Amino acid sequence: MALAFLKRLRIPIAIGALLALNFVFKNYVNPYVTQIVCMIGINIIMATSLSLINGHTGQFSIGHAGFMAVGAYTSAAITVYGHNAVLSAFHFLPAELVQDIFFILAVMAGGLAASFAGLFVGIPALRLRGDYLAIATLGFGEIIRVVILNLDVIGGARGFGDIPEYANFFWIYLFALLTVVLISRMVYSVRGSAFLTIREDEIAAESIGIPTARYKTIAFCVGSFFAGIGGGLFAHLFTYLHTNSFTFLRSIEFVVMVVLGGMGSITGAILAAVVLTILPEALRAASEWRMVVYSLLLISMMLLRPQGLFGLKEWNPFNKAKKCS
Amino acid sequence: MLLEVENCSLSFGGVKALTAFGMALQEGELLGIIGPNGAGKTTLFNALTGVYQPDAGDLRLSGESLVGRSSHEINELGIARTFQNVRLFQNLTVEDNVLVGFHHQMKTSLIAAGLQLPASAKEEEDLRRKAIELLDLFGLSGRREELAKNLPYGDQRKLEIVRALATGPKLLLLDEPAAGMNATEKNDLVGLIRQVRDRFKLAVILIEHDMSVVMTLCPRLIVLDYGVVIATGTPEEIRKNPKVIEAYLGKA
Repeated sequence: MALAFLKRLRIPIAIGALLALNFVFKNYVNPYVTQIVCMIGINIIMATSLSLINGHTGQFSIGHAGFMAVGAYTSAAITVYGHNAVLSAFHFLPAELVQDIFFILAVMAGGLAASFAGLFVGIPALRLRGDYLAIATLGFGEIIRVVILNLDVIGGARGFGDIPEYANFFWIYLFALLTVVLISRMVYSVRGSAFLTIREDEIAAESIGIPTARYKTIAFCVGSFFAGIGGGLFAHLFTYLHTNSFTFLRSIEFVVMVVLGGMGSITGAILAAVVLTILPEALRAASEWRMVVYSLLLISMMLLRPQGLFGLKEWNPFNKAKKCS
Repeated sequence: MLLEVENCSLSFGGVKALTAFGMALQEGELLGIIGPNGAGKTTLFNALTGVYQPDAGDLRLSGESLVGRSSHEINELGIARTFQNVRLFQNLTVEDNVLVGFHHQMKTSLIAAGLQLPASAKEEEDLRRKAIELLDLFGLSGRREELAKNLPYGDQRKLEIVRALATGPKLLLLDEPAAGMNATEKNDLVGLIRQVRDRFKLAVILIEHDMSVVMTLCPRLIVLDYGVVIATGTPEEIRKNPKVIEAYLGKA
């Protein structure tokens, strides 16, 4: 009874909780901690969206940072160059409201640009699988980075600065929540099971009428869309972008999150995103040994639990004992 | 005519898997294909379902050519199949394995599913009911929450047939459905295939090495050897055909 009531009001409750936490983080928590917490939210978006491609659809993309970069630079370019024009055009509305709507639209535009890039990779990637696909996505991620590095309008090698600081705890976690809810509902619906059948057995999937090529492309597009959103939030959190933030190593970090969480578990990807964002910070005390300890932890994790933290299982408090595929 | 195959040839490098193969199939017919290992039986199934494209010749389902079409398009036209070495979605539940078979009959979009719109939820509920009905027919509905990989082998084979039926085919291709089954299971299977054919008004082509199964089930047989049809006819005729005996046992 009580749970059903809670379930009906879950959207206002979630938004209220996010606003309250946002207030707490803004006023009572030191900025260093707040920034880590925000980074966790962004990484949750990245890991969940990559989980759709790598974990659920069984493709192997190691170019996720490239899509993040597309989203970050696109949305930042929009807010940097459009900021004044938009504020003056809608001067009759409260500035904060205009700013927030403008920010959401810019982030969405970043997501769309990234998903367009995802389409570009997705289509040639249809001919490749396994290691070959991985190398192709790696190459694509690097191409994006190098192209941005040479575009002077968005800072080029100097980096892209003066991005308005629109992102905060509230927006980041609102988008993270949307990402997780949308992607998990999608992959665990009957129609979305098509993604899972590609991971399980492509020939069998085709034999029962599933257009595998289309679903692979959709996985790349949707995954990149949310990666672009993550990038947009990242840009407006740090207010400065440089292509060094979107190297191959960053992509690997996301892959590690998905693998560590369990290929095909969104719960696992979220948990791994939290742990792997906190861990390097927590190990700061070990100074120069911290990356060694970090690597050792990863290695022992893979030895002790090769299927990842969650394997293929999910944990959903609202939907007891359902869906473990 | 439901299915017509004309002059179909397919080779892999120097190996001629099918040579000028031809056959026709009536609606509702049960046809058996037998032949020694490597005779081209599975290749024929792969050519029919678009896994391989024939080098020459034509395959038509209800008059529509299947050449150049991909597997999922052919499934939508009405051919469903099972595989020689079971290809289930191992990490999905038994029920989900059947549900994905309804894929091209679904009307609501992926976006509706992502947003969990009422239309999508209702459709899923209807499909779930249909899936349970199908599973019931094969005595599998009690295990629908289990992962497919945890089913015993015989049940995995049955589940593969259920999944194929979920796609709503006109023609069902069964690739050695009785392999690995014991005598009782084989008997059940024969009954089930007949029942399924009558209930869903399907034509069935059966590849089978187990002669008792194929001879009781199919009024007409085709014998393949090295990609060539060496005999066709009723089980009685096939049993006596000297060419068939030679293909299976060699010359004295």
